[in-house]
Amino acid sequence: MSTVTTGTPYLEVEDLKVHFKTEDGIVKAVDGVSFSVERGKTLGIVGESGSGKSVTSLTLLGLHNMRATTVTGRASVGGTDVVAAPHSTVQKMRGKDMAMIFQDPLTALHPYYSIGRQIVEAYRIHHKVSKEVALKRAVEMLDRVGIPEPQRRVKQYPHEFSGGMRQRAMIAMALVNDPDLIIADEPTTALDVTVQAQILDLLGDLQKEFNSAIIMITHDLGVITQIADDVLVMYGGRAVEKGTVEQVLRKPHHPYTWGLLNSVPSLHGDASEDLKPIPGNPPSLLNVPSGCAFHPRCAHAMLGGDGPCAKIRPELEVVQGLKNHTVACHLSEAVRATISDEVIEKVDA
Amino acid sequence: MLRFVVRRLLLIVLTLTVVSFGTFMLFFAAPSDPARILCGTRCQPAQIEAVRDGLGLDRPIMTQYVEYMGGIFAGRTLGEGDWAKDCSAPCFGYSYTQNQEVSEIVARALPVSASVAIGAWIIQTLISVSSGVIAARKRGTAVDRGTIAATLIGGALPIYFVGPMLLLIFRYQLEILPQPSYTPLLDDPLAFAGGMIMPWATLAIVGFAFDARLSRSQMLETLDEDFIRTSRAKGLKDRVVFWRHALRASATPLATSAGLGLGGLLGGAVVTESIFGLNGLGKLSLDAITARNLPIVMATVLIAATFVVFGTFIVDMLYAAIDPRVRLS
Ligand SMILES: Nc1ncnc2c1ncn2[C@@H]1O[C@H](COP(=O)(O)OP(=O)(O)OP(=O)(O)O)[C@@H](O)[C@H]1O
Ligand code: SF4
Ligand SMILES: [Mg+2]
Repeated sequence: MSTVTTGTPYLEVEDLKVHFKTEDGIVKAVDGVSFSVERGKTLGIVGESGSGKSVTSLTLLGLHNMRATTVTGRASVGGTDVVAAPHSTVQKMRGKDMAMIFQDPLTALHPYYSIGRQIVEAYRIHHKVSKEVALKRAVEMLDRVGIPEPQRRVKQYPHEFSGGMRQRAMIAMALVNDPDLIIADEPTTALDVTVQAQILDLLGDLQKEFNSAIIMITHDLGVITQIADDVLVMYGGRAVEKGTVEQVLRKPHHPYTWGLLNSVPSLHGDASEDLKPIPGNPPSLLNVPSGCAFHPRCAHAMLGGDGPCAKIRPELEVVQGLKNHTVACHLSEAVRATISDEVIEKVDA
Repeated sequence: MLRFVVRRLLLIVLTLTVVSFGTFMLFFAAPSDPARILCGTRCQPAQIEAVRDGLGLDRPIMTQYVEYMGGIFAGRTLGEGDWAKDCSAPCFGYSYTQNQEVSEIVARALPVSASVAIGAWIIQTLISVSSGVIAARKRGTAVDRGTIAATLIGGALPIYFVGPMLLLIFRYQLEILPQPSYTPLLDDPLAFAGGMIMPWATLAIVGFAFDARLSRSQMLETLDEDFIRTSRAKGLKDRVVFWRHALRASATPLATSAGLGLGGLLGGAVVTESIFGLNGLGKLSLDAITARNLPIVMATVLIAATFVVFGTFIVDMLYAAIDPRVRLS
């Protein structure tokens, strides 16, 4: 493994746009997103359903639906711009430079091949070794991700594994080639809470061991707290707030982030009556609201008269001189800071 | 796996019992009087009565059914007294109009139909599955569109159009194919194939559309599955993803459809035989129905049912062989 930890991040995404042409019009699933992840670090991406999280990550591996799709911007993975690179280059990078862990390990594993065979295949794509050697490696990996009796389990089929074990197997397969970048798209959503915590621990341990960069996509701010270093909050295909976990979750500056925090059941206390889901529905990406896409649902929106919220699209701006904390909102910094404190006070109560 | 096979075999026995009993009831409850038909048109009532007695047609239907089924497995003596006839297993009764055991008549017709149906089935399956799968691989290209067009045309053509057209073109105009006929495969494989090629082609042209379209859509559906995305995410080449992972996952439904298609081909074989003048089960049963020759109708229905039921059995076994989830449950 390379030991570069500072300097250029392993992954750098700049102004990434993914637009799908459909019969109803252009779906702007991702509309100008920038972020970067260093080796050994984890970036959490949060947002409601349909905010473009999966499309963003699939695009990095070139796994999005290519039909009638326009991808623009830059996404440098270990120095190669995967947006501009030819298909064959990206295909060769998959599994080795960047690997992916999917949400539902039952449908994501091939039902007719044994777990062992699937891992062996993944290993042999990038290592010219015999099947026996690869099988040994598969058993090793299963053992490493905490699957008991790996010698026996390696011969079994996905349907013979429990949900948690399946996700461990999926992780073993994704990590078999020591990938530099791991993208996990809601890897624990399909699992129950205890298993979820175990899987996140496992990912954290493996990350220390392999020094890889991780993107963790989730709906769940709890997951972010547990595993991420940085957070990107997405709304309607764009980033609305970005910063370290400490900054975004302890000093949130965007009304949407406030909404997310308010709708999380408090970890301590029984504040269920205070639980307020964000009113309204996520925007249609076919027809994103003008100005700030969040304005139809925002309790602080300035709409009447000269109010800019429905007219001008806010760009990401630095918060309180903290260079890596940025937010896209027309509210003044002072107002945001006050409300932020109130929100956190309530969440902590 | 053994329990699975045994369970399926028991199910087959049950199915065939129900089918045979049902058919038996149907024919014997039918208004036509077997004794009258057997006796001939110039029979006196007294003579008919004698025939009925002699054949045991006056006994309870259940008894007759048990005797009939027993005859298939162990042989039996048909009728009494003057009418008594020895009929060895498998005994499907005696055709008085042809003065022959039904089993002999059927044994002559069966290989003809089996050759038409099985041969056409193999050809049709090969063509339809490969064209459907290739169309899916070449989705959106001229190859794909050409295949779809071919299935639309093929699927719309009736057997009684394609059969005579082939005959007209290849037998009479171009004179490159012989008149369809049946030569036993082992006697002369070339003559066998030459005599069968037009019936096969007819059935394959008419029947390939369904499985071709199914194969294509099945492959496209599989390509949308999560595990296909996973195999691409591993870094596999598109070619390998398609020809290994996707094809493997589609094999089960494709084999099912192909297997069930064999049953449908039997029906087509009946029509095809009469077009090409082949003396198979189709012609036999059609003639028997017109002549109300019940023993023969009964035998052909049973044979057809057995064919279909065992076809399904083979499909189930294939299923178990290729799907680990079926194998275990
Ligand atoms: N091939 C496509 N053609 C048209 N629209 C698409 C296509 N793929 C995705 N979309 C749309 O893009 C939007 C973003 O989808 P995406 O899967 O990235 O959301 P997400 O944030 O991952 O949501 P979830 O939390 O539900 O997984 C959705 O509205 C989706 O319908
Ligand atoms: S820009 Fe306006 S509408 Fe958008 S989040 Fe800020 S206050 Fe709300
Ligand atoms: Mg998603």
